[in-house]
Amino acid sequence: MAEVRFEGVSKVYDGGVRAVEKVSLTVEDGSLLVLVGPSGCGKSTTLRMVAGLEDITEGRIYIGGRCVNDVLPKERDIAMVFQNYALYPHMTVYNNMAFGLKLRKYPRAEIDTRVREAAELLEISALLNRRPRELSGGQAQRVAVGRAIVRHPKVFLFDEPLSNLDAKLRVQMRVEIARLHDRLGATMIYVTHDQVEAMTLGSKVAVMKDGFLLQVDAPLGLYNHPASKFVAGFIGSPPMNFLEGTLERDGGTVRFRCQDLILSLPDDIGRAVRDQVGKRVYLGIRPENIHDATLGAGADPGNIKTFHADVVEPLGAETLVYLRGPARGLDVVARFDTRSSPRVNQDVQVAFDMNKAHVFDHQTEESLTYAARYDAGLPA
Amino acid sequence: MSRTSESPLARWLKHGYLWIMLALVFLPFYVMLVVSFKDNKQFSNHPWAPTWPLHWENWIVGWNTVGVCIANSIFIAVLTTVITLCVAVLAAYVFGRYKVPFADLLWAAILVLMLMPGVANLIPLFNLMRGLHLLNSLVGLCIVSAAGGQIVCLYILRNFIEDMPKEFFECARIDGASHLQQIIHVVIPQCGGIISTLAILNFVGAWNSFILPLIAIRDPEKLPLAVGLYQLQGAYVKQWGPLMAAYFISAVPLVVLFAFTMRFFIRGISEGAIKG
Repeated sequence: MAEVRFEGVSKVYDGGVRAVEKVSLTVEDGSLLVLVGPSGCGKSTTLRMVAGLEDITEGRIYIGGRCVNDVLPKERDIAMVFQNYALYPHMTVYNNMAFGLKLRKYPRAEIDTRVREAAELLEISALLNRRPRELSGGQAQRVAVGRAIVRHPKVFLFDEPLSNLDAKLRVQMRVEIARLHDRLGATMIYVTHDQVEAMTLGSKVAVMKDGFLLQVDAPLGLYNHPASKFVAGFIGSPPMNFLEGTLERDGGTVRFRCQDLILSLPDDIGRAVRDQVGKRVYLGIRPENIHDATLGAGADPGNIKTFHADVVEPLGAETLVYLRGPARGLDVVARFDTRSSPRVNQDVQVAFDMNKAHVFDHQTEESLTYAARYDAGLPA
Repeated sequence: MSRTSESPLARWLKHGYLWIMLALVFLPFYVMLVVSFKDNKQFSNHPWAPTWPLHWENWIVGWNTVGVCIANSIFIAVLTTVITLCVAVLAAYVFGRYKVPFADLLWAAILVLMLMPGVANLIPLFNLMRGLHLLNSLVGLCIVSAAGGQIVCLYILRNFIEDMPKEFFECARIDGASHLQQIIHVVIPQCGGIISTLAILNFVGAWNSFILPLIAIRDPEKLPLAVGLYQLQGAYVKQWGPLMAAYFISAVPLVVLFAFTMRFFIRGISEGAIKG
């Protein structure tokens, strides 16, 4: 296994399209890094540069301490699992898995051993004589993973491997990939546009947008301490609520005002944003930090407001409530406890837990509270 | 329309039509076969019906006449087909997978060449063959025929390779396959159907080639079948029996070829239809 290091890596296509901009990050040996972001953000291009399928325009990539910029894909000791499996339809499962080893002239006995070991690990031993058209989506994906495992590579690369599967199978395969990582202890780089996959799989998650690397952190670190409005809104489902307003001072307290809605910020957040008083900002608050005030839980009375429930979605373990505020632009989504029983078209008393709120600069959209909260190790 | 709802008359008409068409198609073979056992007198008196005695010696004469030509045609057709497809697959792989400098210009030139009738460039082709010392040579004929066969093969194969998922090739690259290994292990198995079809078409085209061998081959023992049969016309004072025997023997190889390869031909066409 090996560490993968990116140093100022950029990719510029013919015509001047800048797909990846100066990405620098390290994937520790044995860890699973997830590259996540919307379509076209450069995550697959970044992965393909590691594989050697795309030339690197600027910067360097190191695998196991060796610069691989000019190294052919077959000599980088990596294996890749593609979105559409890329199983050769004219070969059996066995031959698909053995193909790479045969090309490298491994002895037949060793090929057989490796293929059967990988098949057993992935529970596809009974499928070895089948052809890809006789496999289900999940089986085909396991064969694709098996083809990577037999190579015993230094780094595994996954390019949206679960995108072609149905929702239920995706959940199942996600668990299997997580188990596989635990068993193999391999260095893995996993690309996905699904933030749920990113949060559940990665020991670290790197969020990309428009070719830029926005933030790298553990999943909960991204969730609780987003460095920008984009990361805050991308991670988490339902996404974070954003209210556009201004900061004002009321004595020693900093408050957020959005039309008639005024919310008091706690002291620690107030201290972090006091230089921004009078300026326009975005206030971010997650649905689970907007509570039903009737359930108590020690909410600040000043931060209890009346909203109108437009849509109520009871999900069993929780209830999503789509709330309309007293003025335009004050719509939020709240995640209520099952003890709550809001009714549609009813006014609801909601409590904003401002200890969990985030404030973002209106122009740069960077978090104004990130450094203060993260460095101080403040609770999420 | 199901059988139960179809009237007997309609069924009879349909089948009758098919039998008539079949008879018309097989009529030339029947004539050749029947006449090949006759001498000229029997042919004059009863041209269509079988007559006795059967002149088996006509077949010996016919075989001695065209046997060498058949061997030459087999050599030319096989070698032309092999060279054509080997070069076309390699070229189509490059055109289909990579950005080649001046590719658009080359491609436009290929399309223009497809529209040009072959006889239009016979004289410059003859001069070229003479300059390259390829005249009166079966191998030379194969090389020139293979060059001409590139156009259609390249056009079809390039489209097939372009349609193949690029992940196949990327996976093979990561696994360590060279370009040639990618062609052998990925392209050829995937394009097997259309390659078979192109092989059959090229074989038949080379087998039936007439104009080029007529001008390029001088020695009688090097003549392919089409030219040999043509020259047979003037070689005899119309000995119909041996002539028809020679024609029938000449038709057998292609009939055998089609009998064994028709399913590949149809599969290749079907794959093309689905891909298209």
